[in-house]
Amino acid sequence: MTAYIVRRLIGAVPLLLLVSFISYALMGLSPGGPGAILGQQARGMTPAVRAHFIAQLGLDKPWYVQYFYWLLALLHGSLGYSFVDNRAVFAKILERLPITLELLTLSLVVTLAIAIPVGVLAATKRGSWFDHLSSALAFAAYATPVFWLGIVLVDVFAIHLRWLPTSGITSLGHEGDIGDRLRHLVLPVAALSLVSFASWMRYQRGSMIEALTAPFVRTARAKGLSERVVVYRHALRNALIPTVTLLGLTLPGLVGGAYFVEYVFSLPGMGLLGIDSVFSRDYPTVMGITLLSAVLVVLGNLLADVLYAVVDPRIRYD
Amino acid sequence: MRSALRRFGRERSALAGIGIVAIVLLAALFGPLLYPASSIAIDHALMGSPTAPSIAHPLGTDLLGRDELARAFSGARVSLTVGVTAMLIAISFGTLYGATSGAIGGRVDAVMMRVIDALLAFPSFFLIITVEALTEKFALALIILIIGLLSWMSVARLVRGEVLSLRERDFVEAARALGAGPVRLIFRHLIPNALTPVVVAATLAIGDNILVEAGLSFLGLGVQPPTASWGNMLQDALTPDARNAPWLILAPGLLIVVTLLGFSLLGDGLQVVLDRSIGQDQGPRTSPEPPLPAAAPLVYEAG
Repeated sequence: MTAYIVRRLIGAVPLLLLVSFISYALMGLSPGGPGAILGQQARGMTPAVRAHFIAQLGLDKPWYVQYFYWLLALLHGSLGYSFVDNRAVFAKILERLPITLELLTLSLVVTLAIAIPVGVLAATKRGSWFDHLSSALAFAAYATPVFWLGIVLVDVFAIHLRWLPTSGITSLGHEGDIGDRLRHLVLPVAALSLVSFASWMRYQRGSMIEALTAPFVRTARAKGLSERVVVYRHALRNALIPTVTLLGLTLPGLVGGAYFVEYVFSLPGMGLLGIDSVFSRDYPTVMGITLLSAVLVVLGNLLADVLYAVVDPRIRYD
Repeated sequence: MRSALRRFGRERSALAGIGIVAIVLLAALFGPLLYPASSIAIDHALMGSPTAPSIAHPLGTDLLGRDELARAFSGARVSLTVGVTAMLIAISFGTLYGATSGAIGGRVDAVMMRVIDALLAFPSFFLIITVEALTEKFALALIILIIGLLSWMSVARLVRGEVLSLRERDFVEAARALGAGPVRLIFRHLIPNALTPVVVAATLAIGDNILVEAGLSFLGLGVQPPTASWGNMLQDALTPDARNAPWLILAPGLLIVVTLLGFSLLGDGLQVVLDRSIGQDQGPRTSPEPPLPAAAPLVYEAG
């Protein structure tokens, strides 16, 4: 297993190189790329000062040379420095990461706590009103844009009912207060969970139906085991395997959803940093976030495969 | 009996999907022609504060006094144009790529699949935002192109999987024995027979593309004002002065929800109907791809 993981991680290196190369090329080649950006910001400078600045940032060289320098710096553990405040990109991302992780973890927990039982129940009572209702809900949730849901939730619960704060992660003077922080996270987590509920629930229902019609369940029934034992011990355990693997695979999607949720709720997480950096043309930060997101995808896929082997003893990787 | 009922239920939802899609399509085609109000004309008498829905303005007016219903119609045009065109780009390229990869097999297939892995590792939405912001040209054609070029990978995988199983089948073997070359095999035998799941994927892709466009426009990176899109209508509704006008938030949002619902019901219904024709139960649409068999090189005999 360890050997397998190591092999996969080594295999991920060329993949990440390719991702970073393509991103760099796209940005470097686009007409509004970093050179043009600095041209705008440097409007007030004399030509000499401006040329000095551009040379200092390496922007006078072709993009592939810049990419090479970027890679060299990466080898030394640096993601470069932000164009906006000149701080290390790595540090900027690190300080934003906890909020995004909190948001993602909480909403994943909430989603699973609702979606798995509902999916299992819908599968065991296939064709019942509960099955139809939950499927209808799933379709509706699947069709709901997370940013719109977020706006509606803010409108109802924060602006009209005044139960919860509208945005941000802390209230003024309440920094470090966990209750306050959680209150700020209620609506964002609700928005993200409601939207991702759909695919998890449908997925769990599908895999449960598959398990319920599997030969080993027929055998269990034939042995005369009670329906409860058949459903919850035999079928459910096997139906959870695909769900567990989905955990890793949904990681990137969750990060994508977090961009919008953080934007709508002004949560200062990595997603908002990403959007802000794009708007302010903070090229190194954008690059850093792209790379980090790609790493997350790779780790998510690896996690899915490893979990698959952990929960299903029939699968061996060596 | 029970399964007959369930099937009926499923078909009913598919019918609902067709109905919704048809209505949106008609609204996009004829709405702007039949409805007199302009989607971009500013009514100076109504400017400054949004007015609630009334007979003159069925969906009210926005902060600039523009008629919301007219904007909604115009938004439907934008959404469907982006949704369908970007889907066509993704489906044609994805099908071609997937079929080629699967038919050639061997090392070429392995490399082509690695490229897909790399592209899938991109945070695609973030990449779209970045490209949009950097190019600074928010032309509809560019939005369509970017969405299309960043969403063909799953189709390619799907088609490749189909082709891998198809090419072992007797009719392909027979065609090859009769002297069909690789190009003929791909276009005449493999692609046509792999199209069933592609139809479902295409339907669902339209919905996904509409969602991406709405998201981009919502962030101000998609369709630019004064042209209306459901996404930028929603963005307009967020300005503080419009915050006590809930209809400005509800209308564009519900339009997106209903349209996406239509396409996903239709896609799901198609899947049920098409699956039934080959005697399989409906799988969940979010199921991961089954592990694909390693592709053995497909050897073409000369002649």
